[in-house]
Amino acid sequence: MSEIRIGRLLRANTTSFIVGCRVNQLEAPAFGAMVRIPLGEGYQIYGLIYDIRIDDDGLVRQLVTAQGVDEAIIADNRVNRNVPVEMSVLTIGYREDGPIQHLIPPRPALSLDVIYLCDGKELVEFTSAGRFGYFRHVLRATDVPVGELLAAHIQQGNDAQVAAGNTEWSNAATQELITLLRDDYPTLMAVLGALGDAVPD
Amino acid sequence: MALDFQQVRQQIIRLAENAPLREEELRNLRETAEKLLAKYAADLDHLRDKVARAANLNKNLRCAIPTTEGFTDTFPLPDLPEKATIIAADGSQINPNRHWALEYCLVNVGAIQLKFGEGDAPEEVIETKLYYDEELYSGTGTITEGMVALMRDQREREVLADLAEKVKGPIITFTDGPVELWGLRELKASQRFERYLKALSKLHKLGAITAGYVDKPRSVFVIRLLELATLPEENLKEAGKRPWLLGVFDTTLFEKLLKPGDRTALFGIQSTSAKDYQDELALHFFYLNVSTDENNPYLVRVEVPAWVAENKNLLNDLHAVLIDQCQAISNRPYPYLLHRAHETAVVTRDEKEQVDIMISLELRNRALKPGFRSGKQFMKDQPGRTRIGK
Repeated sequence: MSEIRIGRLLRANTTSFIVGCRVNQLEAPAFGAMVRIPLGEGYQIYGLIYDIRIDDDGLVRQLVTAQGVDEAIIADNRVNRNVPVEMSVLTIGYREDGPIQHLIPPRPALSLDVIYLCDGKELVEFTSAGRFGYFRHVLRATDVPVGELLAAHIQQGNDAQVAAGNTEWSNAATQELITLLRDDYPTLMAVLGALGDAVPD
Repeated sequence: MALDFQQVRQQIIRLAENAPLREEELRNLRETAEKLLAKYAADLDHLRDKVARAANLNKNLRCAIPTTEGFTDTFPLPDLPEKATIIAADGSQINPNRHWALEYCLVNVGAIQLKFGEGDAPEEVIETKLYYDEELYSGTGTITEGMVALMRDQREREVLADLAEKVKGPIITFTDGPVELWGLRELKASQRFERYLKALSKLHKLGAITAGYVDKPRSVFVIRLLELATLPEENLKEAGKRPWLLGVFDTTLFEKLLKPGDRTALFGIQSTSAKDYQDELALHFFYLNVSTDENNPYLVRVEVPAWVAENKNLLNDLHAVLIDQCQAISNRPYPYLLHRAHETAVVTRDEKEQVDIMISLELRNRALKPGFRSGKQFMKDQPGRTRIGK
């Protein structure tokens, strides 16, 4: 299992959660990456990062207009100052004493729970469970760049699946999306367009 | 009842009507002061002697003391030191308040330490001290807000000295506000002033630079010196008692003289507390133009002890580092590390409430009842309309 900690939970509801981390912890997580929150006794929640936000404050606004910001000041603002990076995560499933479920988890995680990045094995395990049921959570989400998020996820999932010997996963995922979006042509075109850029052929 | 804007409006009209006349008066006074500065610029020995004689006649005399640098001399920005450890400290406090449920006070000192020239992130240090029970009483009753502020200043300097002790190589330390402490009578009664002087001496022994940075100063040390310069010898006992250059500040004297990055001459300080800072601790100051804009000077006052004032290398390093620190922030020059020390130290209302909860819980765990808020405080804490002031 991956032990790359990417931050701690700031706030959550059953469909999404917000993770906070320091700027200097920002190297591991990426847009579209799958994360998990282990909550003990076999219960863990899975999600996809759909937004990464870095807020400013008064001092940072002053510094950006200064001529030639010193390296030490940049380091100070990234290491010491309490301005967390916020990552928004869409909940896509959970596991509780059994197989992975592509359903909304029964209860959200709690403040300060630790969030880990899923490794390739975990990604394969989650994306191979069921029949892409978690896609409906993504397609239903509002204020989320659905096409870009699915493209990023399918690209990362495909890499993991191919490494595990499954070359058909991305085709199956695309077919499922076409089926789910058959009555929503504009979204389907946006998703397929993004997929075309992310997973050529 | 809200502010009566009709009453305020009438007063604002009178204020505006009077403004041109006042501006004209101030311009005349400023010109007079500038002429006096030029006239006495090199009369250093005589004026130093005059200050000493006047101080003997008026113990409360507060003015500048000439050093060996001429009043109108300016000193350009020196080179930065190649390497140095810069430490800035600032403090914040929770003052005791009889209207609150719990009576305590707290002093929080934040310090930030940067290895200049290495590019690494600075280190933050926080020292928090809770004062309670008998510590809340001074010889004359309950500890005052002024006393808590002095305790904060004392802790700031002690934290600087403690941190400097662990550092090798050149050290530059500073705080916000003057090195000279106000309200010494109360501080001396609690023997805290000795601790403050001890911290200063420790910094001296370590060879560290220490300074107090006074932003937007309204000081009139040099103005009072110029008034003294014009005082006839036979009226010397009146020194400092009848200021007539009122409304003119030291900064206005030097604004036209200093280019960006320049400092003024050094001055000593004559004040009632000056005798408490002896020998290497004797207080000095200079003005520094921290602006980068030729047309908009921004002068600050920097207070230093004698061991820094009398050593050109130390003085130059301090001068260069303060300008460098101020230039890190655009528009409103202020030393970056002092701002960061303030950020580190500041105690927010939420944090104060957390401390209240922690104390209450500990008392209740021991079957003790915390106190109670006064009715006045209870009503003030109700949601709804709020107002500024009491």
